[in-house]
Amino acid sequence: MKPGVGEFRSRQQPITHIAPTRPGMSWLAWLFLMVLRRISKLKMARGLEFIHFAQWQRVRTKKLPRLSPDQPAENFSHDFFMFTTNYNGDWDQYIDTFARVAHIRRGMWWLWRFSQGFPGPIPLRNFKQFIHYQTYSEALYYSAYPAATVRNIAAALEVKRELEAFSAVRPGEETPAAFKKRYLGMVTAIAPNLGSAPGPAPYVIATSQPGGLPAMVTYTRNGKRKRKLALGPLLGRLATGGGGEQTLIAAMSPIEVKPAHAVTKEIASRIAAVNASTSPSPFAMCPMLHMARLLIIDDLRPKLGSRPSASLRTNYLLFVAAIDGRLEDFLDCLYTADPDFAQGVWGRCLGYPEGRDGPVYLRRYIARSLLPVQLPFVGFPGHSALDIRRALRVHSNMLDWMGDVHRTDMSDAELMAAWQGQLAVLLAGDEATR
Amino acid sequence: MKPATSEPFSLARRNPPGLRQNLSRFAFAVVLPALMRLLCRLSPVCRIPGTNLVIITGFDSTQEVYSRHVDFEVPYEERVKILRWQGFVLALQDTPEYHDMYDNISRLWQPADTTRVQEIARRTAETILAETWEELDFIQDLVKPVLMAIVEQHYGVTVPDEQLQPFFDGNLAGSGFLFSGPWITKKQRETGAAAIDGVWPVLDAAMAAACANPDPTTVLGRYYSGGPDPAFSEAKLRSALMTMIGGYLPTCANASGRIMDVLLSRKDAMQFMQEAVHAKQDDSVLTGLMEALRVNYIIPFLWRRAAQDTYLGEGTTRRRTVRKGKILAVSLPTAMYDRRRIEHPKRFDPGRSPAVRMVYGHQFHHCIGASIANTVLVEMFKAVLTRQPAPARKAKNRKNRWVGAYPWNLWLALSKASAAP
Ligand code: HEM
Repeated sequence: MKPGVGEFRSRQQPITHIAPTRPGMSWLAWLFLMVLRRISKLKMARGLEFIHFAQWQRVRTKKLPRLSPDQPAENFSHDFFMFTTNYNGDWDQYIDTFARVAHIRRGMWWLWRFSQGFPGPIPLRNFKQFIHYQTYSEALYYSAYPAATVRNIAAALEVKRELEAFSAVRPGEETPAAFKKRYLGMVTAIAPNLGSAPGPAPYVIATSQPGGLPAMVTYTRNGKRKRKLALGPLLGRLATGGGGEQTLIAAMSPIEVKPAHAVTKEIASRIAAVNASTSPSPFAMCPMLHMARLLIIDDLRPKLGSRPSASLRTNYLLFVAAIDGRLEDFLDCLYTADPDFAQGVWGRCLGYPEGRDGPVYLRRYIARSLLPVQLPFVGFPGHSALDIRRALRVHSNMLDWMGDVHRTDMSDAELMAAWQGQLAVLLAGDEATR
Repeated sequence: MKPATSEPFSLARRNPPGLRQNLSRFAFAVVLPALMRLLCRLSPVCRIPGTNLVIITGFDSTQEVYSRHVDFEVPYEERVKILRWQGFVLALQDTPEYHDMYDNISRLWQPADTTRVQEIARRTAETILAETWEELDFIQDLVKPVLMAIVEQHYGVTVPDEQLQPFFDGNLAGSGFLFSGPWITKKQRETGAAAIDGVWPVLDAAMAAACANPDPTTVLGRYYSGGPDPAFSEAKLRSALMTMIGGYLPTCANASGRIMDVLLSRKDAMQFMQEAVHAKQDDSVLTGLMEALRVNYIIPFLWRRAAQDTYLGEGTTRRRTVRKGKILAVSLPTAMYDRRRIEHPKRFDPGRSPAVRMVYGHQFHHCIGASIANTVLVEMFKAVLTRQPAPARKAKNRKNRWVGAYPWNLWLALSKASAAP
C-alpha cells in the first residue's frame, strides 16, 4: 500500500518522487534525460497502458527559483531528480511492473542510477522502500477525467473515431439493408472497446505524499517532439503540429523563509478547502487542463538512512500540470475562474508583487517559478482534454444505445430509423465538457 | 475652408474627401500600426526622448498599466471640461464620486434590459433589411439607424430629424476629441466644443419631456417615474445619459464598420460568421465579432498618466522607471497583436483564448456598456449576414469612405432576402 495522506476524487493516482542526485552525477542525469528525449519516444511507458503523464527532471538546488531578495540561496551539496507521474491501478502493482518486466527494469535502472540511495529495481522490497521514502504528498490533485483509466480513454477514442467514420454517410444515401451491414461491421469493430468503460465516479483514493531554463514540452499528434525557443520568459515552448498539443509544466514557488510557517499553513488550508469542497474546483473551470497537482514542500529528504547535507531554507509550493496549448492561456483561465484562489495561493508566495491583482502577475510569477522538464511523457498526444472527455461521453452514450435500443430482432428499416433518431444524442459529447 | 458656425455640426463636412483624408487614413491604418508593432517587438514600454510620452505596446505591460489604476490615472479632466461633461466615469479616478456615478448608471441601465435592447436592435435591423433590395450602405443605412433606435426607444431620448446629424456627428467628434492625445490644439478645442453643442440640447429636451410625461419602459422614464432620488440628481442623470450615449454611439459605429471590413477582406472570417449565424449560435457570432475587433481595433491609443514616480515590470526582473506626470499612450490594438502572448496575431482565430481580447479594456475602467454593445452588434450582424454581404460594385455614388477615424460609408451587395438561409 502506498502511504496515504491526501484523498482525491480520482481513479488516477499521482506520484511525486524527489530523490537527491549522487555527488557529481547531476549533469550526467541531465544529459541522460536530454539524450533519451531526443532518441526515444518512450514506447515502453506507452506500452504499459496505465500511465497518463510522466515527467523526469533534474532540479538544480542552486537554481531553485529565488523570487525575492529576502530569500536565501539553498546550500545543498547536490541536486535532485524529480519524477512525477499519474497512473491508474494499484501502487504496489505499478512499482512491481517497474521491477518485474525486464525492459522496464532496465529503463528504471538507468533513470534512477544517478540518484542517491537507489538500490536497483531488485530486490523489490528495497526498491519500494526507496520510492516510498522519497515520495511527497500532494495537497491537491485534479484530473479532468477522474473516472477513466488509460485503457478506458484509448477505448473511448477508438469508439468515437469509428462512430464518426460510420456516421459520415448521410441519411438517404444507402438502403436499410446496406446500412445494417455497415452497422454490424461497426458494432463488431467497436465491441472489444465497448467493454472498457470507466466505473462509477467519483472515485476516492487514498494517496501518498506529493518542475534553470523554464521549459515546457509540447507533443504533436504523431507523438513527435520538437524543441523551439521562443522569446520572452517562457522559453522552451515547443513546436506544435496540426491538432491538439499538450504542455507539461512544473513550477516551484517560494512561499516563505523558514522557520516562519504561518503563510505556508494558510496556503495549505486554502488548497485543502478546494480539495475538500464539493463544488467544482477552479481547475475544473479550465477546459484546457488535463491534470494538476499542488504540493507544499517544506524540506527535501536525503538518501534513506543518511543525515541531510542541508535543509531547505524556504518552503516551496510545487505545481505540476498537463495542459493543452499555452501555459498563459491556462493561467488566464484559472485566474478568471477564481481570482481569490490564485491570489490566496500564489499571491501569498514570496516575490509575488504585493497588493497587485490581475492575471498578468500570475503569468509573470509562474513564468519565473518554472523548472525545466527534461523528459516528458504524454499518454495521449494530440488529444485535448475536451477531446478525451467527449470521447468518454460518446463511449458511454454508445453503451447506453447497446443496452437500451439495439436489438437483434429489429428490422433493417427500424434499426436505421432508430439510429438516425438517436445519432445527435450518441455523438453529443457536450455533457462531458461541463 | 472653415465651416460657418451657424451651420449644424457635420463631421463629413469638416473632413472632406481628398488627398489629406487619404494620407491621414494611410497613416492611421497602415503606417502607425506597423510602427507600433515594431516598437512592441523592440521595446514594449518605450519612453520617447525629449517628450512627456511613454508608449505602451506590450500585452503584459498594458495589463499592468490597466491593473494599477491608482498609479496610472486617467488624464481626461481638461477635455471633459471643454465638453462641459462633469461626472464622466472614464475621466474620474478611483474616488467616491466615481463609485457613486458608476452605481447610479448600473441602477438605471440594468442587465435585464438586454432583452429589450436585443428586441429593438433585431426589429430595426430586420425591417431595414427587408426593405433593402440589393445594395446597402452598411454604416449610414443600417448601423446608424439601429444604434439610434436604441437611444430613442430604450433610453427614451427622442432626436428630432433635423437634429439627428449634429447629434450623431457630435457624439462621434466628441469621442474623437476625448481620445485624441495628450496635447490639445486650438482647432481640437474648437471642434470639441462645436461638436458637443449639437448634443447637450437634445439631452436636455429629452429629460424635460421625460420629466413631464415619463414612459416607464424607457431608461429616462424609469428615472422620472421613480420619484426624486437625492442620491441621483438630475445633474448626475444628465452626465450619465451623456456617458451612455457618448460611450455608445462612436464605439459601436466604429466597431461595426471595422468588423465588417475584416469580414469582407477575409474569407475565413466571413465563412466562420456565416456558419455561426446559420447554426443560430449567438455565442459563436459574438466570439467572431470580438476576434474581428481584435484584428481591426477601433482606436490606436488610450491614455493614462503616472500619478507618482513608479516603474513598470512588477513581478519581472526588467523594470522601467516612469516618472510622475508622464503620459502613457497605451496601444490596445498593438497589445492584442503582441507575439509574446498571442500566437499568429494576424490570423482571424475565433478559437483563441478569450483572455487575449482586451476589446473592452481591462480591470478598473472596463467598459460599462459591453453587454449593450455585444447585444447590438450580434443582432445587427446576424441580420446582415443572412444576406451574404459582399463588397458592392464600384459606382460613383457608392464610394466607401472614412471620415477621420470612423468608417462612414461602406457599401454592401446583398443577396435577395429569400436567398437567406
Ligand atoms: C464595441 C463597442 C465598445 C468598445 C470597443 C468599447 C471599449 C471600451 C474600452 C476599451 C474601455 C476602457 C477604456 C480605458 O480603460 O481607457 C471602455 C470603457 C467604457 N465604455 Fe466602452 N466600449 C464599447 C461600447 C460601449 C457602450 C455601448 C457604452 C455605453 C453604453 C460604453 C461605455 C463605456 C464607459 C462609460 C466606459 C468607462 C467605464 C469606467 O470608467 O469604469 N462603451 N470601453
